[in-house]
Amino acid sequence: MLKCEGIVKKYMSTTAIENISIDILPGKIYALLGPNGSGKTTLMKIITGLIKPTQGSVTLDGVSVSPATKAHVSYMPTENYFYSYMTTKDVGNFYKDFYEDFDTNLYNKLLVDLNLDNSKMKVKNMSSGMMAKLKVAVAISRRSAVTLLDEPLNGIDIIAREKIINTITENFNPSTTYLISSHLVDELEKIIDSAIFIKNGLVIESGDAEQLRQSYDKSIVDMYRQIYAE
Amino acid sequence: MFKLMKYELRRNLTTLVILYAVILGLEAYALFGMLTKNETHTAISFTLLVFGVFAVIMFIFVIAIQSYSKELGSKYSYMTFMTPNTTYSIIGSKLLSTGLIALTTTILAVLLVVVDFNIFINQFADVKEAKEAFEQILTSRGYDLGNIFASVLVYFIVLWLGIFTWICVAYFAITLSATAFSNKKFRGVISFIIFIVIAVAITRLSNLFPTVDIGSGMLNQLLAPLLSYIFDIIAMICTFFGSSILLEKKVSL
Repeated sequence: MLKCEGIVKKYMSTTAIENISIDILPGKIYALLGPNGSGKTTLMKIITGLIKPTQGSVTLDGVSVSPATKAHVSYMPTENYFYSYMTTKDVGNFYKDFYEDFDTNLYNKLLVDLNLDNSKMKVKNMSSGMMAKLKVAVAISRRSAVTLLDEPLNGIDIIAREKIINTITENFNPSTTYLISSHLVDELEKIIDSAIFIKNGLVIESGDAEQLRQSYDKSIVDMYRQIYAE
Repeated sequence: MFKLMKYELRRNLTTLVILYAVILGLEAYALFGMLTKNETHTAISFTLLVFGVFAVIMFIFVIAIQSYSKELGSKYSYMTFMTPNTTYSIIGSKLLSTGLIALTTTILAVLLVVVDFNIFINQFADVKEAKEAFEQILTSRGYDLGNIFASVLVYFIVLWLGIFTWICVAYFAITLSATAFSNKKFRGVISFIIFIVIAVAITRLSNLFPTVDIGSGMLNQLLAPLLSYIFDIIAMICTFFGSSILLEKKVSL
């Protein structure tokens, strides 16, 4: 379905991605794991088409990254990227205008569930927690083939984190694939089907979460500690 | 592309409302001067209106460039570049939005010229006589007032053509700094130098073209550099495609 082959990304003297090849299958939730600077965000941006790789290719159902694939890939960046004049209602209208797979009813429901239903509040006035919840709500309101969530649990309290995790699982459907990056591995462990460990721009371990637990005889959280503490 | 235009215009709405409000405020002042037959107020307001309209045109130029620069230099860019639109549509929508604003401004400016001119000659009897004498001189030389108003319109079109060429060159320079030079230090300075070099080159080359005789009078003077205008349009198209291709091949947001 989503295929990354020999992805390399270099910036001046820095190599963000050394060489990554992964196959992402439909109907699964993947965890993209790794410390800061390991290349997770760069990889997500390459899949989304916001960055061009120095080498390698990304295809979605055989189609290279292009406006055609952007119609089927939903990406939640770490940063606040909404226009400053926007309210939650404006954000919904923008997504409705540009993405055929955007489910307005689901978006409105998520806004209520996540206590963001004040449609007159400008996004620029939102707290970081509210912003994180809004970004998740708008990203998963797209019924897209691939949903990429980059650090969706960052900067928010434990209650909101639980709400976001519940929102992701409750709204997950087998026709979609989620690729979620996070430092908060213990929160993710409960919901993932597969895990991809990245270190210094390389995939150093990947596979079905249950099989990884069995072969390492450890939880994903402990695997994370072992891999990155070395 | 029209949806992109809608959001482009919405993003600049507040600034545009303020600019047009200033012009309409100055027009209200001009009307006050003319209706009260106060020559001093009328003269001041007309001067301010002329400067005001040109200031708005300059602001539109700045808004167009700033909007594109922000688009590539801030995280707002994700909003646009995540959508299933080609880079041609993204840049095209910005140019068309600016074109729409330019058209609105031109219509407003020409309307103000026509309306204020008519009110002015009706309010001031001596001006009316002067106008009639002026018309007789113009007629005897083969001109008419319609020709002058057409010249004002052509003047604005030529002005906008020059501004749009500069906008496209600026877009190309900004795109270069965000793509081919994205890994370089001082890319902003490099981008500015590229802009100056290309703009100067286009101006110099444009001045090399011979003039053409079209009609007579003011209109002829405005249309004589037709070949230069065609060259400007070609430069505009080349930089537009150059920017779109660069973004498509080397975008790095």
